[in-house]
Amino acid sequence: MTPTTTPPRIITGLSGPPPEGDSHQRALQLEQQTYDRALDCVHCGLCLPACPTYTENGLEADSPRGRIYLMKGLADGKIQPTETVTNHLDLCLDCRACETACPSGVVYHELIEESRVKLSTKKRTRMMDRLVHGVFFHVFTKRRRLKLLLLPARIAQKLGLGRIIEKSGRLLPVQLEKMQSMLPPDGPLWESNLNKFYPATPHDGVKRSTVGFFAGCVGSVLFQHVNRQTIALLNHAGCDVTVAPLQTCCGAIDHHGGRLEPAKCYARKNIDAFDTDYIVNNIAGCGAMLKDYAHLLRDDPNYAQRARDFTNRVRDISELLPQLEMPQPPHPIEQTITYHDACHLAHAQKVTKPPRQLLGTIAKLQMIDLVESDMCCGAAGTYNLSQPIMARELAERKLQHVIQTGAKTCVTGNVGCAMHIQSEAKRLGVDLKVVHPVSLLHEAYFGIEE
Amino acid sequence: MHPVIDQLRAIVGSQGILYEQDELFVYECDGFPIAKGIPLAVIFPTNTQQVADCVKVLNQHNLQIVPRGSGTGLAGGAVAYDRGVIISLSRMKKIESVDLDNRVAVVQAGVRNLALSDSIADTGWRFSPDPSSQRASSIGGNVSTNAGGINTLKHGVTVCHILGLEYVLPDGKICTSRAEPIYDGIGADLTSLICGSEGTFAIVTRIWCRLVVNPKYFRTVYAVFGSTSDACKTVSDVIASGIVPTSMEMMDAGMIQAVESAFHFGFPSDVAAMLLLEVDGIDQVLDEELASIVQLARDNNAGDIQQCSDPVRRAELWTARKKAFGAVGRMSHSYCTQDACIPRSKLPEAMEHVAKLSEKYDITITNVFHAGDGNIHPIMLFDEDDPGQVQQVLLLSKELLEYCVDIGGTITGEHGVGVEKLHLMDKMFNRNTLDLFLDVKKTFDPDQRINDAKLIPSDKTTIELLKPIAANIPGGAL
Repeated sequence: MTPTTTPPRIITGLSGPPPEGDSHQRALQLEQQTYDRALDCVHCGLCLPACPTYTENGLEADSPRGRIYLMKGLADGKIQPTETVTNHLDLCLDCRACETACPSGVVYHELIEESRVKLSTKKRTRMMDRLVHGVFFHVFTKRRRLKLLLLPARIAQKLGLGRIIEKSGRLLPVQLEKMQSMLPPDGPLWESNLNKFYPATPHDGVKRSTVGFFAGCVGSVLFQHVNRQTIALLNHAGCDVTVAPLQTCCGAIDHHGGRLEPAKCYARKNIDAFDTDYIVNNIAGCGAMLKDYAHLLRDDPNYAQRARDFTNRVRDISELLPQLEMPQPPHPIEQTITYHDACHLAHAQKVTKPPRQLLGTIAKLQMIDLVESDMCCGAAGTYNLSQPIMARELAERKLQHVIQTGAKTCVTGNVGCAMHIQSEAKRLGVDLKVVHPVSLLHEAYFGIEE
Repeated sequence: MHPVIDQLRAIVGSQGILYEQDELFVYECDGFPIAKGIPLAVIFPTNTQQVADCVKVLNQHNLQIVPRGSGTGLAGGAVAYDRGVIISLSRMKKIESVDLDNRVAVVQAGVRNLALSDSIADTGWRFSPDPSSQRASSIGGNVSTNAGGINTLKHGVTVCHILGLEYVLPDGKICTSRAEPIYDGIGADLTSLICGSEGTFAIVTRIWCRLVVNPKYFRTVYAVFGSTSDACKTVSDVIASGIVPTSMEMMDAGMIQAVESAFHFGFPSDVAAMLLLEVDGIDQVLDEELASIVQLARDNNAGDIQQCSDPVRRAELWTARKKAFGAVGRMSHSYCTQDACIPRSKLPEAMEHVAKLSEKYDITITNVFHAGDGNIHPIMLFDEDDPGQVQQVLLLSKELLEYCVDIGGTITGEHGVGVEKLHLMDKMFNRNTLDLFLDVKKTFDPDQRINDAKLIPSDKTTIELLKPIAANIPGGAL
């Protein structure tokens, strides 16, 4: 039996290292509501497998639970925002898959977004990062500037100089190289604007409602054809469609980049611009932002109520179409497809079934389930430009699953995912076409476009 | 920087080690946030050899070693005290082979429980142990705590589904026991000895998992009751009738509310308790079994009894149950749960006792548990930043568990002892038995380097969860 010679040594568990210096120096001052919501996390860990970054690297600090712990540690003054800490927070995709998984209902995105806003003011940024951010904030959010930026690349494409662009891309910083690689291979030199009004052309003669269409910045420059197809479907379903001329960027790029004031400014402009029953969009990232205006402007005395009202009227196209009594689409499509859930549709807007139901109405279309269909592809807004390595790893993971399905077409309701998956497929030599569900529906209703 | 860091980095690479204070911070606790300790480093090996090499290096420096899976444990088993080094298995997540003919899958220890079943979902087979954390928890962790779950009532706990193990001993040697899908019956069952040892004997690195066929036929019902006592009597009566349901789960009013606000399943809001129940087996027999159960429930004044035959609803029902612990976050910032097992006939009185203790210590308690196993899970709600409440919770836990032992129960059914219930081991076992436990540990780990002072009271070290906040409060060394 065990002889006990000396009494056991007693050790005590400590809650984190003691704060250094001024014990009340808190690197992060969260709003009370946000801080309280951080405390809703009971550290159960059920979010771990939902998190793409944790799934990739297995680091607790790159899991939702770990990041909440870091943010709470910063707010409590237990740790300081060193580069390592902010790197873990920056590596978050803000895909919100953890919110879907969380049984406690932690509103994670509010926490990470507020933390980023407050920490970003303290961060020194490198020259190149500032240039890239300049492009994000000042070009991507302005259609005209975006078209100007794309013009040289488009001209080169038209002249058949694609390979030269690809080569020149290698001379660019990695983020800009990624930007040029995502440019869809065809498109007009100068994308024309949408009309202000498209009258209903109901299939059954019944006019149903008036819909305001939100076109999106990148959407209306690179994916205007999807916008036109969306409007055509709405018209066919009996909706008058107005394209509010004063609409602007949704604000997501600024908001996710920690620039709160510009995001609020966009939100107010859009709230002023739309007076329709519904505000319909076809870009998951924009839609999620539009639905978040109520939260964004909650403290604005002039806009808080209007923002709530606005948010209640926002619909993704796939949410609205099934409510409009559309007939069975007449044109069969003989294709095998798979569906990738855009995070900002599945997790931020909780829309997963309607797009599948809509695609299910198309005759002869075979849909194969995608493994981990709701795991982020790495696009995540401008994440693929700011965190190119993780973004690539996640795209490769996504593509492996897509390849397994045998489908040559991947359908997804977000331009960001579409461009990212498409460009990564090209880089890896995967034969794949990424399309918006609206494009397939349009073909099923109206036949193949000229 | 500690000299061990460079040596470890040479083994696992610079991407495989964390040692900066602010990164270690997130490893200070697991799913039991009362127990906290900052490790010296966390390493992320990707194969067994790396684990063994790291262990040898750690031995040279006389450092404590703490294995950690997904960190979902509820007893502080994965917390590193005394500046120990955590070996995280989170990157050892390869499903190495699946052999349906011989009903075995070989996995690395970090593979998530559900990841294995998901990977073979289309075959109709699964890995049976189903702790509520199964989406996140690792199979290595399940082995270490001998995890239970919802369907263990009929299908058994983890040890029943493990055919063999590979593990690294605290001196760096690699061992395997019963590592083939055959029953060798040679000698003492080392595999079973490692199962449930909570990472205090060895570091489990590879597991031969028994696979079973999903039940083809089942009936799922939920019944509501006006009192927890009636629900408990039903459980007791069902067990006494000889029927073995796959699972028989109970939720009280507080828990029903939390689950309902999280998942909007459509549970009634004005009931005191609910039983969720499933039987599986031969189709023709099931209706008869179900009828008997329904009758027993009615005899105990059950209100509404709903059958849940739609497979989608059924899946939603069990998901809601499995996420119930997490949903507690909607009611309180911190929680701590006990998982004592008691004789099922004692369930009604035990539930009454839980309610009394809740009043005595002024701590809200809500219940969701594996009623069929007599495995109660009173969940205590508190604020982890309030030392007074933490103390009350610890004292309440102690009194409750002592009561459970007194009525013929045990201090843990499935969550493990960890650091949390260590002080109750002498209530559970006599001195000779505790000495034997320690001797067995020393056979594996003579220098007591791996997860010492957890599960088995150590003669070297005692871990204090909290310093006493007032001299007159006993249990400072809880």
